[in-house]
Amino acid sequence: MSDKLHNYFEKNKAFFFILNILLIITLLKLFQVYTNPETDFASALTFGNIKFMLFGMEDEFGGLALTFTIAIVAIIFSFIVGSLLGVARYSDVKIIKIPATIYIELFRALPLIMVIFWVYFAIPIVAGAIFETKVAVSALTSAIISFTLFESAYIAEIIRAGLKSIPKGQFEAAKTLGMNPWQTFTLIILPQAYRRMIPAILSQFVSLFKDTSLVYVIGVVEFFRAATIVNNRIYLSFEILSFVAIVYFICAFTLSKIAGQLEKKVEKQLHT
Amino acid sequence: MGYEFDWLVLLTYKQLLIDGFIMTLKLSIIGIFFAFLLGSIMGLARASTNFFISLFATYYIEFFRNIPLIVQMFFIYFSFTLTDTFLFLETIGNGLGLENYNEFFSALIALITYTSTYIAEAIRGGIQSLPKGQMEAAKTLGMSYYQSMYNIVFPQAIKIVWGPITSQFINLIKNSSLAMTIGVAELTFQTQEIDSITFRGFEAATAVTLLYLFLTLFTSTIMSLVDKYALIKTSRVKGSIR
Repeated sequence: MSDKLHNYFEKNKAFFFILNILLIITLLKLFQVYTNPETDFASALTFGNIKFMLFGMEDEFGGLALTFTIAIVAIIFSFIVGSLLGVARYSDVKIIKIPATIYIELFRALPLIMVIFWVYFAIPIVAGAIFETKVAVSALTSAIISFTLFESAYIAEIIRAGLKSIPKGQFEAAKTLGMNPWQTFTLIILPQAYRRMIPAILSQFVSLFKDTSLVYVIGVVEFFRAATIVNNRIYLSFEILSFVAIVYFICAFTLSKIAGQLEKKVEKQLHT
Repeated sequence: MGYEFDWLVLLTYKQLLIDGFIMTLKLSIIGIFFAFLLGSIMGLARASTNFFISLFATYYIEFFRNIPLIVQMFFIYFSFTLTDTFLFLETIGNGLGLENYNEFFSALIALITYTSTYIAEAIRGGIQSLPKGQMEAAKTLGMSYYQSMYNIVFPQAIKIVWGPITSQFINLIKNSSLAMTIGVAELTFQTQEIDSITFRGFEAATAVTLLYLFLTLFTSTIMSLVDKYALIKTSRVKGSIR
């Protein structure tokens, strides 16, 4: 029976995807009726509040839109930095391999919140004193810098794994054709490696998307911060936080499903 | 004139750092234990052949995995007063020598639910990567489903995915720093504390960074030692040749 059900699910993916989200919302609603019967969703989720949480204020960009902007900008930067680091760690040249390894291992061992703290508080103080000027980094810039520093370590590992998965024969074949190392990498190896890595990078993007909620600590008015601002004003935390949870869930769930689909596609391509 | 480092400030405020370190340790150890337990159960359920058990585990995993940890912490902390509902938590909190039960347990529960989903996915991957023959062989020997799961499949699966599980444990240790947002006085919280008292954020951040490095390196060393000496030696390939 379970096989039949499974096939049925596979055939009607989009329908069940939406059904799942609705079901989760219903379950949360039931949970709320059971635990917090006296809720006031009507005054928590007014049009103005929702608009503020999703798009920020009239003259100031913010909310969920800013969350997506930060995530996309940071993933692009960390993709570039991560590619360099990944190739550096993959190479046999000690002078670039060792620093890249140290960088990757260091940032993978640190909590993201510490990285944000370093970039926003600690480094500007010291840099300002050394250069005798006031180094002021805006919260948004330092958020993007922190995410880039942090995520590029993870992306580098993904890229290294992708490079490792390329058979040695590809390098040798390129050499036989008379290509130099630069040509080999840019024309033969990286395009193949990137194709294999797309799903992994997309799931890294999902985790980055979730992690953007951490810039709450330095006061960037992204989705989570906006929600806490609304919460501080009207103090209906259950209603607002469940709204936040559902919105984050829908976004991250959709993205991770897309990543899963891509992964299947890439695997199919590799095996044929 | 450059910045004058004053590392002595760390000695003056060493008690704060030690307290923070102990708090991080408490969160991490209890968190890792329960996250592994819950993750194993959910991973087994997800790989189960029973459709409804597997469906339930899928919902659990997808739900807690796709909501940011900080949102879960805030949700639990602001929407409920855990110690009012579960009175036994107060006794446990007393036993652990805590001051703020609510903050601690909210952070802990969020950490457990969030990390357990990743561990569950890892374990499911391990179970499904094993050849079906293992289960069938166990059945042929007359073992029940639970016996073969417990004795044959699970030990092998855990060995395969020990690496991902290690990195999830390390993630839990790192993520415990988010507990500062709801006011648990752990390491990162103490950095801010020292910074706000003395304006010596750089020194404090360096010390805390080193402590985190120590913690994560220590964890990965322990885990690889466990892998080397305690986990079963899977020599399927060798055995089949013999």
